[in-house]
Amino acid sequence: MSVVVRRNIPQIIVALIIVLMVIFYFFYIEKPVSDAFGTADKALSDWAIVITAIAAIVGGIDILRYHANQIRKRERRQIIFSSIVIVLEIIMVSLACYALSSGIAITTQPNFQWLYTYLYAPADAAMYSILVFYIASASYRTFRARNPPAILLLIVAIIVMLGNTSLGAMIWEGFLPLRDWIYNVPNTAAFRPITMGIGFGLIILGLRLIIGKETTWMGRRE
Amino acid sequence: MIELIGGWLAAVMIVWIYSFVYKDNVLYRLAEHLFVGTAAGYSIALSLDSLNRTAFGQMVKGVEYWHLIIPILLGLTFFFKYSKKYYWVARYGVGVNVAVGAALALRAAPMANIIKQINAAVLPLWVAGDPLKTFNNWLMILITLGGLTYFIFTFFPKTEGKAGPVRIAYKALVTIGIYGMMVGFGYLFANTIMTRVGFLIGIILQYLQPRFDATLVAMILAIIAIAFAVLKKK
Repeated sequence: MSVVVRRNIPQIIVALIIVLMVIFYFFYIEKPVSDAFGTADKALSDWAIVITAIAAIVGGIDILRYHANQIRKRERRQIIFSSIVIVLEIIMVSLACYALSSGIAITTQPNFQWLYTYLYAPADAAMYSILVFYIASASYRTFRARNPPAILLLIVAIIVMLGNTSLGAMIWEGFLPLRDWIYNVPNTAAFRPITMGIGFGLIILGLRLIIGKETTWMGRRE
Repeated sequence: MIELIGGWLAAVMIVWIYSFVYKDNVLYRLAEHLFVGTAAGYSIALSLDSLNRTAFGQMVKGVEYWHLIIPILLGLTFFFKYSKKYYWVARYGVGVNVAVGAALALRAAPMANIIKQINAAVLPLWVAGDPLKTFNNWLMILITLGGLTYFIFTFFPKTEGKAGPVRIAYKALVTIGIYGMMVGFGYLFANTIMTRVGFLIGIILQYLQPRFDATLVAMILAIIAIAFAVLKKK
């Protein structure tokens, strides 16, 4: 297939959608046009939700494919683990399909709920909180008073942590108001330029997509 | 009975996942794969539910919703990424998603990220009868300007020769910006530590403490698995 169909048309579609959605949002034309755009805009947002849902399903199938390949390679130690992944994934999806066909919300299906409550939720929480152990070593490196900015970071972090705990209030009652002042004044001001930078970055990304300079979303290069 | 098994399973999963902190071992990998399997299944289940509510559930309501067949077809193009010859078809589906996301960001960013921030940064430099407020306002403006100066990557005042007033002002603002951001990062890091530690305490109280027997058994098994891993490496 020609480059036009493979690359140029998708790029033109992207640019067109961005330009139309932005123009109709910022510039008021007239009521019938504005109303028609409102409907089209809502439809496009729904489209994005539907496409994202299918993309997540493709992601799940990717995991399935990966582990099926591992089994096919006959790696002795990995076979059991990959089988566990495949079996559990199929069980969860089957239970969800059964719930949908029964006309009930998937999260209320008893077996699905059991797997979620006793397997997924605790493991997810453990995976998230395991970082606390690595943060301990990260703290050691971050809080080393190497230079004046690092000393400032260390002092602020100690004040905030003491302000967040009842121990801090027991030591000195001023930690809590000091923490609030740090949050409201220097912290807010410090993150303002970062927020503005993110805003400029988003605008530049949009402009790059419109003029076709941003091509990373297209995946592999030709 | 089913709750008892569930309680044991939850406690065992947590202890085995935490065992990774010391060393990778077979029980950690078992818990990890159990988690990956359920997480992948859960993600697909949620997507099916979303698809059912947003697409299929709407389409049966009437002809005006039949346009939703287009995103379903666009979404199905994602499967072409498995083909070496027709992988480019997936770009049509990805493109629509990227475009809608970028357009929504482009609409919100100028107001929320830039104009509102500038508005909030414009503060009176003198507040009569309130020296603290005046000090706070000066500090906020200087830190904001300092941070913005720090992030200028396109041009810099000349560094050769005698330092002029522009260079001195530039350096002073950059220094204020760095110190201001250090305060911000200190606050952020402290809060991150507090959140994670709070999460850990929550897990102990919710899952491990009520099932102390399961925790103990899982810990003994984890210690054996770690010992095996250590011996195997030797």
